[in-house]
Parts: sequence; C-alpha cells; structure tokens
Amino acid sequence: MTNERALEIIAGHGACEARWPDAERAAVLALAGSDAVVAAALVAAQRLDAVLNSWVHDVPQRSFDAAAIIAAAAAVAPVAAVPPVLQPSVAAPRRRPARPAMAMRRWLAGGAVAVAAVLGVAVLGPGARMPVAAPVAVAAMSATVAAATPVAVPPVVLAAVDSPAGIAISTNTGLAGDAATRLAVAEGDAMGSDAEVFAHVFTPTVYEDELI
Amino acid sequence: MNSLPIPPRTNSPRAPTANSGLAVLMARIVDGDALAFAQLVRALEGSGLRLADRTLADRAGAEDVVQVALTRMWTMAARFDPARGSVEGWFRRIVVNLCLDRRRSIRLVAPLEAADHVASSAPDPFEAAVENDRRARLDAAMARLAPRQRAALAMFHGEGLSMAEIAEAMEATPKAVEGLLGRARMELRNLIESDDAT
Repeated sequence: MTNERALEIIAGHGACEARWPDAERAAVLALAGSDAVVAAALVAAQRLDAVLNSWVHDVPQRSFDAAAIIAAAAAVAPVAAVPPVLQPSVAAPRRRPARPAMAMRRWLAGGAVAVAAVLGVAVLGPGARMPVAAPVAVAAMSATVAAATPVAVPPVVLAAVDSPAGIAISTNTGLAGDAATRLAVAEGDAMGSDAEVFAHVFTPTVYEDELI
Repeated sequence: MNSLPIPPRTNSPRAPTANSGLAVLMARIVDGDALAFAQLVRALEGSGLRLADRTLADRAGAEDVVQVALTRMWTMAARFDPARGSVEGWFRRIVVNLCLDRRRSIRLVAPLEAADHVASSAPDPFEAAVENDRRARLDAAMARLAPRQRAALAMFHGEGLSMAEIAEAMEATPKAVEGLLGRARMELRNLIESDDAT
C-alpha cells in the first residue's frame, strides 16, 4: 500500500472504513496510523462526510400510478419511438425485406459491373489464367441475372477461380442468401439511388477482401 | 477510527431474493401483467425519486424523470436481460441518463450569494434561519458540481451503493467512479472553504 493509493481511497470513498475496498482496508488503516499526511486526509474526509450526510436528507416520497403510466404509454404511438436506452446489444438488428424490383435491379447492375470488370482484367492483366477464370465468373453471373434470385455458387467453382479474377469472386460470393441479408442490413432505411446500390453491392466483406 | 454509519438502503440490489424477485416481475411485465408492473413501481419509485431529486436538485424535474423511467420499464421490458445486470441497476441507469440529459438542457442557477438572503418560515426563527443558511450554502455548492459528480455522490452517500453498482449505473468502471467521487469531494470541499472565506 503506497501513500498515494491510501490517499486515493480516502479521497474517493471517504473516511468510513466500511466503505473502503475489503482488500485494502487493513493497509489503509495501518498507514493512517503511521503517516501524518494520510491521517490528516482522514480527518478532512470525516468533516466532508458529515457535510455530505447532512446533504442526503430524506426526500419526500410520492406514489406513482402504475395504471396511469400504462395508459399513457399505450396512448403514445409506437413503442419504437422511445429512444433506445441501455442494454443496447439486446436489440435485434434492423432488417428490411428487399423488394423484388429492387433486388432484380441490384443483381442486374451487379452482373453488368462484374462482367465489365472481368473483361477488363482479361484484356489488361496477364492472360495465362483468364481463359479459365473469366468464363466461370461470367457464367455464374449470367445464371444469377437470369434467375433473378440469390443462388449459391458451388464452392468448387469458387475454388477454381483464383486471384486474377478477384472481382468476380467478390460478386459471386454475394449470391448467397446471407449476403442478401447483409445487404439489406447495410442498406437499412437509407437505400436510395443506383449509385448507392452499387456502393453496397461492391463493398467487399473481410472474407472477400482476403480472397482479392 | 471513524465509523460513520452507512446510509440505510431500501430494496437493496445486493439482496439476491429481492433482485431475483424483480427479475420475475420483469418477466411478467413482458407478458403485459399490469399487476406486476404496479409492484415494480412500488419497489423502484422511492430510490428513483431520491436519486433524481439529489442529482437534479429540482423536485418537479425529478418526478418527471422517474415517471419517464418507469414508463420505459413498462414499454421496454422485453429488452431487459437478467444476465446483463439487475433490474435496479437497469432502472438506475435509465434515471441517471435522464437526469444527465435534463441537466444538459437546464442549467441550474444557484449562486452562492443567493444564500445570504434566505428567509425562514420555521417556528424558531434563529435556529431555523441558521439551518436554512447552512442548507442553502450546501445546496448552492452542490449545484456547482458537474452533473455526473452529483449523481455519483447521490448514489454513494445517499443510497450507499458500492463502486460496482455506481459504475453499472453510470456506464463506467469502478476505478473511474472512484476517481469521479474523489474529484467531486475535492471540488465540494474547495467550494465550501471558499464560501466560508468570503
């Protein structure tokens, strides 16, 4: 027990040793008996405790009407309007079901950009692997656009496409249902222009980043 | 050595039976049990009103805060998770947050000089005037503390709560609460001493 720690305890907890931390009580008491500074702090804390004890006078009580509270709460429209307070992690994440038309536009737009990206890589990048990667990506995207519903790409197909076609991998992994949920959560209530849709569709996850 | 009495506490959150009892009430409230809510109100209103009154130094504001806090206990009962803390701790946190929000928008104005003109209506004019004067000076000093400091003092000295319980209500660590209380006490002592000097 250092002098500084003893002074901290007295400053924060006051002079009543019953309120001190159990593990440090004996040491503070011992130090107060041998250290003049700690002893003086204890005397000053006693005076302040007396002041504070006089401050915490009885507060006149009042009975609150539970029935009136319930009635008032019912009269106030949706409960969701009440600001969230406390235990925030308990709240379920907001999810908005994707509208069919929006989903179709999203996949069409995604497919178009993916095709463009793959073609760009095929033209500009090292050509050795492109003949394999590009058709796989294009085929997968075409199938998705045609079906207009999220379809999971078999893992074996994804495994066959390696880094040169990273963009294609990114969009392909977005075909699964969990990705649609992720998009819906990410969009929240703010889904607006096509540009925003693009931004959401082509924001890779950590997993996708690693693949890229 | 000093042995000041620890302030009595009603509905002690340390009592496991009372605590689990309140958790059971919360479970019933989730199902819309108005009777359970009435019992919860009876259990929480006293401590809530004391905490709010001492933190705000405003009776009407304190009653508003408790009313809103109790309303949230009803409307947000489904969000209570007993694994994350006690019912009382949750309620205290709501009360403290509401008090702090209120204090941000309403700044207390209680100059120390105002205490020089306190009139007494008590039967014994001299003693009552002295007591009123002392009381007004203390309230004025308390009003100059930061709202969080005042809330911490209200819980520690008023309700006799532990550092851990105060930390739960103030969304801080026990160590941070210890420092907060230390600064609050030091500031209060300085205010009182400067007032005495003038």
